[in-house]
Amino acid sequence: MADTEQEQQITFNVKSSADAKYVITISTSTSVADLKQKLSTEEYANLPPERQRLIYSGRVLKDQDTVGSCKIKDGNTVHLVRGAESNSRQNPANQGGSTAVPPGAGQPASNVPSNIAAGTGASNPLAQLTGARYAGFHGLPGMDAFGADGGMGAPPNPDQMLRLLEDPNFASQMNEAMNNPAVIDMLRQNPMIRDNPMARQAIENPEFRRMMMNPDMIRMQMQMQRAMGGDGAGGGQSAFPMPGQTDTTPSAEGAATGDGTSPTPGQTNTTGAPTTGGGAANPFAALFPGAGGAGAGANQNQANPFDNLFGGQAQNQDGSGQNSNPLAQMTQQMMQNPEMMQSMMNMMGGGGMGGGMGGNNPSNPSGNTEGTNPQQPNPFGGFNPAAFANMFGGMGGEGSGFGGGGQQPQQPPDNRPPEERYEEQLRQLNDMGFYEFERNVSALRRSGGSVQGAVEYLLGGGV
Amino acid sequence: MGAKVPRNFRLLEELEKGEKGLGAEACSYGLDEGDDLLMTNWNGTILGPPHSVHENRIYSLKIHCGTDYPDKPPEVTFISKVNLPCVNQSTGKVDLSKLPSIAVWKRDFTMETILIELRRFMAAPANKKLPQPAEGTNF
Repeated sequence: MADTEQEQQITFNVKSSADAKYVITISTSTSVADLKQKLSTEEYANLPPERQRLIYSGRVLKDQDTVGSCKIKDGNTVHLVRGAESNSRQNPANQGGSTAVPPGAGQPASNVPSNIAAGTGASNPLAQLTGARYAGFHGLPGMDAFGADGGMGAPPNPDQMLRLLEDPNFASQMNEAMNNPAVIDMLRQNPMIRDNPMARQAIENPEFRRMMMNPDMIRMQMQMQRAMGGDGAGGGQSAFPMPGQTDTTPSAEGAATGDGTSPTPGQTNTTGAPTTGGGAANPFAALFPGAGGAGAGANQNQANPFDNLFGGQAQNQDGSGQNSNPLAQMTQQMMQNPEMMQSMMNMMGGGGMGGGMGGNNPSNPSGNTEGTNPQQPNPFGGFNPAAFANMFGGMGGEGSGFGGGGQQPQQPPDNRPPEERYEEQLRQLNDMGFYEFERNVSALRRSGGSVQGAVEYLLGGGV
Repeated sequence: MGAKVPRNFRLLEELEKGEKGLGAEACSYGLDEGDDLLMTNWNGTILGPPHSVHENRIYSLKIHCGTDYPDKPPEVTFISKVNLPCVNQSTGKVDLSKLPSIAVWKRDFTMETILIELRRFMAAPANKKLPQPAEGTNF
């Protein structure tokens, strides 16, 4: 289409590494080189064209192509990446250096000083000095063991958690730990758990444990979080060159989803929508106390000489060892460090809670599932959601922040009679003057148990 | 549990995500031919992870989603030369079974999953210092 109509204007987004997004309206006959020229102005990326790399749909756009021939369509997103002007100097291990002539080399040279490695770490000239690649040079284990940037960066974000949880080694180590009476004891000492018989029971239940560590569960939680506009605890993929969001689902949409459904059945608080409003104050921060804790734990370990932590892990010396999985190392350290273990478990608790809250909403009527995850395997198989509701409710403060849980994962069919399942909501509806039981139940079903949604529905006369 | 999403719906979903840039920023993917109704051949790019020899490099890949996708993993082949244990050094083909995290294929894995895992594999301590062929060379 676009090929034939040469003068057609299209509007698309250019997303750059600095988390900035530019909206460009341009004729499809414009060449990529001209587009880069346009992007190089201060109004946009302010980056010399020869350092721009435009990536769209899995392809690096060539300067001589036109926007039309790249098949960029309205509303699509082109990624703008800062490329190195030349990376021959920046890395001694980079054998052969760079033979690539930067696209647009004929254009005025950029004034990047030549004594710093151009473009390393997306415009951060110090990146080389701080890079984890030097961490292993002293015969010490690489700081990679603590994740990207030696654990100094963001706390493990859900993506990392997910990977961690998908690692079978980790699972087995974790399981081992959980079978260790000492660890269980430690967990029992945790006031959050000590004061809650349900929680105590849960940590001793292998089924529940498995659920808490189910990657699907965390994935689900992540999706929920993203859709709600919270950018997760640690920001995007911390290992990425740009501290960008990994998911750009418009937060407005997320907030809207959150607003639509208020309190979940297991909760008596009605904070609902307000807690989810806007992603600015991250309502999920509280859910990741352990994440912060783990980060802190890692730092603490750095201050601490590595030796005792790495006692039996000589093969990891120099960071180039055979153990290619830093996460496994991390777990091992955790096993040896009760404090970290504890914060880890808190984090797990947080994860479980998040999922639990999301899953709190029995019956999942079609009206409420927009954009969630229909193909998600159900992590709750065989569990009674009501029990979870109680438990998570009892787990204290964090729970209340979740009033607006906007997305429900797939639920096992809840076979309890509606009067029991929606007891709380029905009472509220009654208080509001909606007395027709059948209508109330059907409205609640449609709203997924949200009183607010049900009221809207009832007032809309849809039943 | 849950209904199985048929191949084409899945791929359409992935296409939209790729074109709109909704996924991770360090990876990009899209159809090779925009009018490929079967959505079989895809392109992908991976931005080299920082703090590794791959930093600042852009790797291009071909992804072939057979009729069995997503029940079976797609075939992934590097176009840009790269030295990685999971990549066949003469053809560029990725041996997914050597990627620990996706060796056992699951239906909910996407092309993005593969690209992200490849990228993570590049950044793994064992691989991040591997000498790499000159940038810009292809298989």
